[in-house]
Amino acid sequence: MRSPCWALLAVGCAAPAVKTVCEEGGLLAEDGRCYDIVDDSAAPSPEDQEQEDGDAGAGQTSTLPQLEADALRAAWDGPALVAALESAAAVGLPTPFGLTAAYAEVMAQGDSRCPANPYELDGRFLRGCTADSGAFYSGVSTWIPVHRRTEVEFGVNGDFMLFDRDGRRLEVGGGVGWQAESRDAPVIKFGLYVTAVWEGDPGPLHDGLSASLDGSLSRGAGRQALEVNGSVAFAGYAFAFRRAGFATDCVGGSGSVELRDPSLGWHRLDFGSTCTPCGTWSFEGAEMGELCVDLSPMIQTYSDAWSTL
Amino acid sequence: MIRQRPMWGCVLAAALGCGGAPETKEGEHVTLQRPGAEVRPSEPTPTAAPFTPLSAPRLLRRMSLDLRGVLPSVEELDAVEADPAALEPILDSYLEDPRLADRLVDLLAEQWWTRVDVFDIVFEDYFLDPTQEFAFERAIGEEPLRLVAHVMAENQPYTDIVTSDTTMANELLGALWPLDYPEGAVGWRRVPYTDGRPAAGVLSTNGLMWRYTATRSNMNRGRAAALSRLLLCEDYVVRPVSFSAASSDVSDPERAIRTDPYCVTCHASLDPIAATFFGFWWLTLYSRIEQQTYHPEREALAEEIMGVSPGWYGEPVADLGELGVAVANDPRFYSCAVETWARAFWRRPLVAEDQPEAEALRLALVEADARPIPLLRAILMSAEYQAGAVVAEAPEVEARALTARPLSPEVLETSLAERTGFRWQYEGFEQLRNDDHGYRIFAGGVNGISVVEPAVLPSVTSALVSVRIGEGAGSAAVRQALADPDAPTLLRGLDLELVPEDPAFEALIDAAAWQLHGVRLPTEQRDELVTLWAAIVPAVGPAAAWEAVVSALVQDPLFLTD
Repeated sequence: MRSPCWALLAVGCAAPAVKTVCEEGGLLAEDGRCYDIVDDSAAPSPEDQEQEDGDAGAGQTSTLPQLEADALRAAWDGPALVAALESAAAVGLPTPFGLTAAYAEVMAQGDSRCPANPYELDGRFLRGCTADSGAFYSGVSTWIPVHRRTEVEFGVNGDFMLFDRDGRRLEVGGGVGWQAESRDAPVIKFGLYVTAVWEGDPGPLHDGLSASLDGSLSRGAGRQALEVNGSVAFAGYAFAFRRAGFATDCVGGSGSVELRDPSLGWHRLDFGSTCTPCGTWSFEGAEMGELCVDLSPMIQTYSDAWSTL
Repeated sequence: MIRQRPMWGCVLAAALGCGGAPETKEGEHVTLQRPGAEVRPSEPTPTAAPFTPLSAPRLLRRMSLDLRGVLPSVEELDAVEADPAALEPILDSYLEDPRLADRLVDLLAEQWWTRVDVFDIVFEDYFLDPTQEFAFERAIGEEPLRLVAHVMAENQPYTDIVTSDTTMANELLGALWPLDYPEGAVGWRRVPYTDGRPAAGVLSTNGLMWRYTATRSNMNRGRAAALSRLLLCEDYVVRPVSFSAASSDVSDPERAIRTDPYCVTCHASLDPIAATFFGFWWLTLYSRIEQQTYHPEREALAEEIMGVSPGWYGEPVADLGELGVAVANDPRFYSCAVETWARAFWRRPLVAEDQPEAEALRLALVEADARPIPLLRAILMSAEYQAGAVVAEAPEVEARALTARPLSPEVLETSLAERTGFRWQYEGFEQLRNDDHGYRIFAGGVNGISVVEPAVLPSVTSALVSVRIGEGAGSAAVRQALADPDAPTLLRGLDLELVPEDPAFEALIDAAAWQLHGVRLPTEQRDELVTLWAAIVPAVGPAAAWEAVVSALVQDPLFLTD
């Protein structure tokens, strides 16, 4: 006997201990009955359950106050979205380079007493020390060049808060890194899995960066291309990328780019697999039409950093 | 950690006739009828209360301690002693008392377990002074509790606890977290976060997220389970899943979660809820910058990383804000509100036999448009709450009401502080409210980690605590009375020249007992206290003798219980 008992799963009721799978395909319980396994993510909603529960309960529970979720309405229309995207692109996608450079700069202000190690915070000063320069060091860190496996490998990981001699805070939780086989390698890979702020940065790091992002930068024949996956928040914008590509010889982009609207909903631009100037625009899953935007400046911060290697 | 499952978990299943009703025995899992459904013939029917009510003064004392954390005044005790009908107006005034919110925080902490002594982020991470450690830990743990308590004390719709666009913060949190806390202000107040997190009441508070943390691989599933336990009273942890029978390769848990029926049982509903919390998905633990801020960009990662979209039992939700609305619209949210607060005031989990009463309470909440003061009032007016003694012929199973309930460590602290001036503190720690340096669980309290149920019986450690608080309260009471003889303190009018032959001597003892116990002191017991006093005076003088009298009164079960 099978019991069409999705509610067993939906509400976690007191089924007898399940022992094994029965012939009909359900779960055989100690009581000898066979229970269907149903994905309760597709189970009726609690409201539906109330409805199906017959007259006994429906009358009373129908008096439950019901709230309406405010329908997400995009604050940005097409032009405003383009403006926001182009504004963010002009700032440039945050790179690992800004953080590694800042870290190296502040660490260079330490001395043999504090933090005692010129490269890493090795746990001696979890609660902090002040160097003769006035710079302050606390936490733990790993400086990737110390552990380099390829010719070009930089990065920093850890949980630390530093203040440079001018009192500017560099705080990092997580890590960033970049790597290439050589200085002439055609591809450099990078990752940012970090929340950080660097008050000495004239750019977006000053107000904070949160990223769960990786990708690669390739170059050759007068062309540079960036591909990124993941999400990043900087300069007041929150982005998510899925195989998003930007290139110096392409107006627009490839893959998909999502940007959080001030209403807290998400815009999405799908460019397709090859770089095109216009993409399909949707907001919270609802198609909004076509939108054209030049995101090629996104690559600039990476190009600039690479050129300084 | 094994706990008895709250009994409301299966109300919907029972109403649907699902799975059958297990045997109903005391202490075992039982199936209750869905709230709102009629009482079916097979269900237990209400029976005559198997207990008699407290005396009016003792009931007033219970209400005062529960709702205000302090003892009733002498005038209030006298009034209800003379006319028990005076009790209800006083109860109504208690429900408007500014101390109500603090008490609701204490009561909810026993079930929400957020008032822990340590979080991943510690006070040193903010370079705070060690004397601020206690304030730091309590502020974090109380953030969600205070939001609930504020909504309740202000009689705002209970649904606000999962839909509000503000949280509760004090000046410490205001200084540490991205909150719009007014500069120069002090105290707890409703303020918004400024980091773009959705409006979801307690569900978008750092305090709840810091207590119920998530690793990268857990992906907020623990938080989803916590939401279910706290707001629906549905505990995934106690579902009857046989891990040993699962056939999946444990080396690939993410695949198992999606395909193995033993895993799908929970994860089909749990994971879409977890997906709504990705703004709190932390890449690294123990990092304050990572944990104190909401990460809006990570919302978009949930589907890619977990393979499921945010949802609530099959209904898609856009974000945490919509999740809050979905929770508020779930009938179990109301049942759970009743279960939570009835449990808080009845001091025990609800059982099957409570269903008719619980349904009446639920209706009190619903009919008040989810404004919770009528619910609180109904709970306090219930026969269960007012139980004072079990009738001799009551079957054991029905005599479930706690007729003598130990005072919680928090109530011991606030009641003695108010009446005697005694505060047990150590380097910034309230000693009855922590276990780092103090004695919270010794005194029967909950630490939210290893002890998750308040004690209902006295213990060796609670007896030791009672000795110490008796001594402290006695000393403080005498000091306070001598400093200001006319102040409305426990020993008002204390004169060290008094001797037992003076009428004022016995009156002083009687008044202290009346205040502390809500019971007129029997002559025999008064005589014992006089004897105690007289035995001590020759050795150390009358002040110490009065301290001993107060200490004895405080250590009396009539004080230590309500």
